[in-house]
Amino acid sequence: MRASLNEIRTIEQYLTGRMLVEDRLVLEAKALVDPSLASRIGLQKKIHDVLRLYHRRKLKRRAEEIHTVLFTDPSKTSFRKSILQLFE
Amino acid sequence: MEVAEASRVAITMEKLYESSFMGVARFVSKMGGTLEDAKDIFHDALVIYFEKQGQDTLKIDISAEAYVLGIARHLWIRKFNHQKHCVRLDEEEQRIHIHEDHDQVNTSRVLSLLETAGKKCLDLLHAFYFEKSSLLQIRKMFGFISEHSASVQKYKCIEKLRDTLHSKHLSHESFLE
Repeated sequence: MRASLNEIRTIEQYLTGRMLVEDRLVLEAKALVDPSLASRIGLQKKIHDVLRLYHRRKLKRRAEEIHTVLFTDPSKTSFRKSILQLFE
Repeated sequence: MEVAEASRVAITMEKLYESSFMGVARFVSKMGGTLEDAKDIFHDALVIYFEKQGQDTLKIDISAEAYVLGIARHLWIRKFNHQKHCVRLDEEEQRIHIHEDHDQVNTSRVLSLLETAGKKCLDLLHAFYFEKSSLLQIRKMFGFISEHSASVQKYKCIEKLRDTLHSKHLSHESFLE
């Protein structure tokens, strides 16, 4: 695997907290003196943030789907009634 | 003396939805909220719950239903701060920590960009990081020749998305901050 991909793997370990303390400190020290490395780490972290948001939206859509089923399925009428009763 | 191991089987959203919506709805109606309010808060609580379940950061002291209700109460307090005095969190609920995404608007914009520019890569990375799919499953799902090549593709995808962000001069926080 080429060097740039190896670096990505290293950064991944760093971002997911799977790095030994001493290796972490070395990476952070390198980033302090190498702004382009700091930038690459920042961008990779951003990608993680984006993925987390992507996942949350997927979960939210799932919840909406379940809600629709529970509030339209004839077999769930009593469940529906007990919830609706609370808001009368 | 045998110590029983607390093993939590991952609960599905379908099951948890049915078993915990009532509690949240009851709470919201007591607070004067509507069914819509209850649904919104409940969905947000479920999302947080399953995010934690995926990350193995759930504290296993209380039931899943109680946990979801606890999250919902936290969220209600945040949303309706002025009514804080009306909602008291019990000891267990106070221990629930909800992570804040400080840069939501920017992250959302970046997500939109990557959904158009790199959907395939997004899906692959999502499978790796969030669906906890094994390398074997991912290999099958995406048709890789080997598990090693699946890993390599993962890193290539990160590189591709990173270069896309970089070329668009999108700002990001320095990781050191």
